Amino acid sequence: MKKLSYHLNLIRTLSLIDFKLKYYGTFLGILWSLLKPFLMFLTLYIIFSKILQLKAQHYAYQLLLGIIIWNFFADFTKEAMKSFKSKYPILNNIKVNPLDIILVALGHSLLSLIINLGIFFIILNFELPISFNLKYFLLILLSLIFFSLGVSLIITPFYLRFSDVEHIWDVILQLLFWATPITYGVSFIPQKYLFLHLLNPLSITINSLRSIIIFKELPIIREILFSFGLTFCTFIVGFLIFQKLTPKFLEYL
Amino acid sequence: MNVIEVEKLTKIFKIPHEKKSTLFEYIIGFLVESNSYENLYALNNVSFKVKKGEFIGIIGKNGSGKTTLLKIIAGIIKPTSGKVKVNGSVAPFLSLNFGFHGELTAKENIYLYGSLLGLSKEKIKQNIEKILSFAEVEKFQDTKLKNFSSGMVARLAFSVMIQTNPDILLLDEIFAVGDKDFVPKCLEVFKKYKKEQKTILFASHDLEMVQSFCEKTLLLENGKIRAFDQTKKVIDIYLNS
Ligand SMILES: Nc1ncnc2c1ncn2[C@@H]1O[C@H](COP(=O)(O)OP(=O)(O)OP(=O)(O)O)[C@@H](O)[C@H]1O
Ligand SMILES: [Mg+2]
Repeated sequence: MKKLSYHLNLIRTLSLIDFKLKYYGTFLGILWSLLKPFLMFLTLYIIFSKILQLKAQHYAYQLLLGIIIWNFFADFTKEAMKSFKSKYPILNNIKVNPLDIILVALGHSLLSLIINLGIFFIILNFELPISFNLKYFLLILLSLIFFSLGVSLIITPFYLRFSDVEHIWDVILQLLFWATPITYGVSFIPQKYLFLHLLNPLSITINSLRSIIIFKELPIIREILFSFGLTFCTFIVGFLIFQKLTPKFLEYL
Repeated sequence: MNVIEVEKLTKIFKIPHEKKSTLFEYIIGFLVESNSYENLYALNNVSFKVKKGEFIGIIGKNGSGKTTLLKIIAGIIKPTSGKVKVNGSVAPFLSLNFGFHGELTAKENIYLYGSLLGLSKEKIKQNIEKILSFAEVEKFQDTKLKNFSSGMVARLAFSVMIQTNPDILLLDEIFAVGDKDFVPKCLEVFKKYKKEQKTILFASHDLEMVQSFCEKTLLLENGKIRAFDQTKKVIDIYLNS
């Protein structure tokens, strides 16, 4: 166990370097990755609001917020897996704590999330006041981060062992995208499928954030506590799986 | 004082009869019961101790397990069974790319590699001139590493390593690419390290180098220790086998 300052310094250096490699000399690259959720929004908005005529209060904001949250989850879980492959030369030469690599990917995705949310608030500002319960907001974001971390810790070792996990995860993400109230609201879910909403921390995260930011209501505390519980379990399970399997599976890279 | 204690170390690589790198293949294999593999003993029940200040040579034929042993001591791969105890900071030099990134410049790679070896940002900043000049690549500090020759890369890695001032050095064939100026420069450093009671494990096929530098040598054969004794004796055994 090395000192904390070593890990912080390593995470910072790797983050800066990743950033540089990803967007090397291309301002457009940065712009593109920030634009992605907004382009996705535009497409889905046209389909659901204009073509399918879906009616919901503040639908555009609900949709955009859902997409931003989803994008964080999807991008981070994919990025974390893949960064092991791109860092293979390092891992093959020097001892690195694999958790540090996950945290580098997390930092990257968090930065995008913060910028995207910032843009969202600027747009929101034109129509609605930006006043909401900051305490709940931060708490829910924190649980989103831990849930995403937990999921990433579970799938990453399997990705190291089996190269097709990348594609399997893409398919699962597709399913999850439509099973999560992003393009629709929780009120659209039929009673008998409501348990799917309760079992999905992403769904509760999006729903609660919509309540506090767009509708200026308190979130449903029962749901939030339940989602925190699930998040906690996911994270613990993920941590244990990751610590047990990653050192073994790194050899398969 | 022992700085490295290796106890009953075994490393098995599972070599599948058919390579299955996807979950799909694995499940199909599982269903038709063909997930068979062979156990390759890269290291087989290896035990030895290294005292502080010793320079140890590691020799053996290709595939005898030298690199595997160093990687386990460095903590890069996990052994199948057995234990390794290391007292002190370790700097590994295990392959010719050292974990450097070809798309980054020399300077950026120094920051990367330095951070990986445990140097703080300030320390790297203070010493970057020194690092570049020892490696004799000042002119190329903003050149991408993919445009470096392998000897230049090795110089750079060695040069960063010196700054970390490690207690234990693990070297795997690092002189294979050094030129006539650089090798003596490294040897100077090793002489200094000898005085400072640092420990070096040196895997090589260059028996002369091993002879001149290491008082003791470990001879590996198919993952087992064939001999661990004074270098001259061990080299004789190796040459006569
Ligand atoms: N990641 C791996 N997966 C499967 N087998 C491996 C792996 N790494 C090494 N091996 C096998 O382990 C054995 C020992 O390899 P190792 O690289 O330690 O030999 P070496 O003594 O360093 O050889 P050389 O002199 O060629 O450098 C070899 O048979 C090699 O094929
Ligand atoms: Mg080798």
